[in-house]
Amino acid sequence: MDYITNLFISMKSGMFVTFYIFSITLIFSLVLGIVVAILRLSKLKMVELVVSLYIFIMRGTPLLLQIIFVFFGLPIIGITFDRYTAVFIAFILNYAAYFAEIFRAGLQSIDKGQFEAAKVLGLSRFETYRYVIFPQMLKNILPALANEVITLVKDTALVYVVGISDILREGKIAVNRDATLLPFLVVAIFYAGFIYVLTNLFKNIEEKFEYYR
Amino acid sequence: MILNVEGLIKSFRGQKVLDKVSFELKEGEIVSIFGRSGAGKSTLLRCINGLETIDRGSIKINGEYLYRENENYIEIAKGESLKRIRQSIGYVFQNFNLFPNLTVLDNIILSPVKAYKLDKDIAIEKANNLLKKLNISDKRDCYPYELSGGQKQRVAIARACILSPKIICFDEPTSAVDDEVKRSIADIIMEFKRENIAVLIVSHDKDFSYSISDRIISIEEGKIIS
Repeated sequence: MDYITNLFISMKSGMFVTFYIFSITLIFSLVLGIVVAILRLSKLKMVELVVSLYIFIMRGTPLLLQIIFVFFGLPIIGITFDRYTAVFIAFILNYAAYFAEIFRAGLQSIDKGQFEAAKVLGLSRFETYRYVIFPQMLKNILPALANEVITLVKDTALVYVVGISDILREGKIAVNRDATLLPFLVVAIFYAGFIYVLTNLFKNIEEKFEYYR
Repeated sequence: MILNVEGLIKSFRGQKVLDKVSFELKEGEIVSIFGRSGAGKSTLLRCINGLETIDRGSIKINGEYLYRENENYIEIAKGESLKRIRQSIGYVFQNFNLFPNLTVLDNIILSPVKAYKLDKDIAIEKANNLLKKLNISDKRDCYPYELSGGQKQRVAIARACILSPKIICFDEPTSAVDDEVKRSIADIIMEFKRENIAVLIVSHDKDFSYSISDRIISIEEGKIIS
């Protein structure tokens, strides 16, 4: 038991790295996702085409490959990033594409009559989205959003490819050092605990939205 | 005149839905636009409320042009002018289009408070008076899903009336309602007339249209026939 407790303490920095990558990616990809979703619904064909291509590339290739491309590939043409920046670029661009598709589906699920009612009532575009559309959209997309956020927690493990020491990498080091698989159990407990907290958080948010149908 | 529609032409994919439609509406007048399904009556109402652009003609509401035909293009009202026009005209949708995430009260005061910057307390007081008048004061804090069809319609009417419009448009107000609700809608409409508010009704309910209207406009294949 002492060994496991010590492992938790020694892997603290790895846990922090995982949490850090998760948080930064989540915040920025959600914001970028909203922008991309609105652009994706643009009436300008060119904008819609470019955004669709971006989403296709992000969803059509593995995230691991995208991280490798940003960190190892771009320096070939003279664009260099440090490990963390490269990871954030790849993660944010990738997750923004997925979030954008969720937001787009959410926006399209709102009845056209809601937009029309807001329009005849004189609400501006911003007011329409702020008070009418987003609250309804959020309720519709919460389950899909929760799935994606949980996937993000586990995807953070991919940062090993550029040598960042997240929790999984630290676990592997401990396994090799101590010749036991117990560190992996600690890693599993960390991921499961993290996801348990997120699952409950989303459950609470979903319950908060149950005040209307 | 509170509403002037002049030479209105509207097409969808090359097919004329409204063909040179012209009519006027006086203050306090109740006019029904009557016609079969697909005759273009709902499209006409949507054009008057700025939900559809028009191809030719003009629409003037309370002295300001919503659409005005210039030499080669249709000029559309913008900014403050559009806001004033929107304030002058209320629209009760066929399926009400209440905001499901807001209570009855919030549905009614959202526009005056957020779009027209009316003091919230004044807006609430106005909303309370309207709810009382429409006999749904007890539903003030309910969400739309908790209301019956007739109650939803009253909320939609209150929402359309809160800014004291000069015209109120009803799209098929009697579809899917029983006789009692129908009678209460007729009472509400007659009350508008007493307050000198013009009412424009689109309906295929001949009995209802004839019983409450000052004038009937019959429309067929996009043209006014009488």
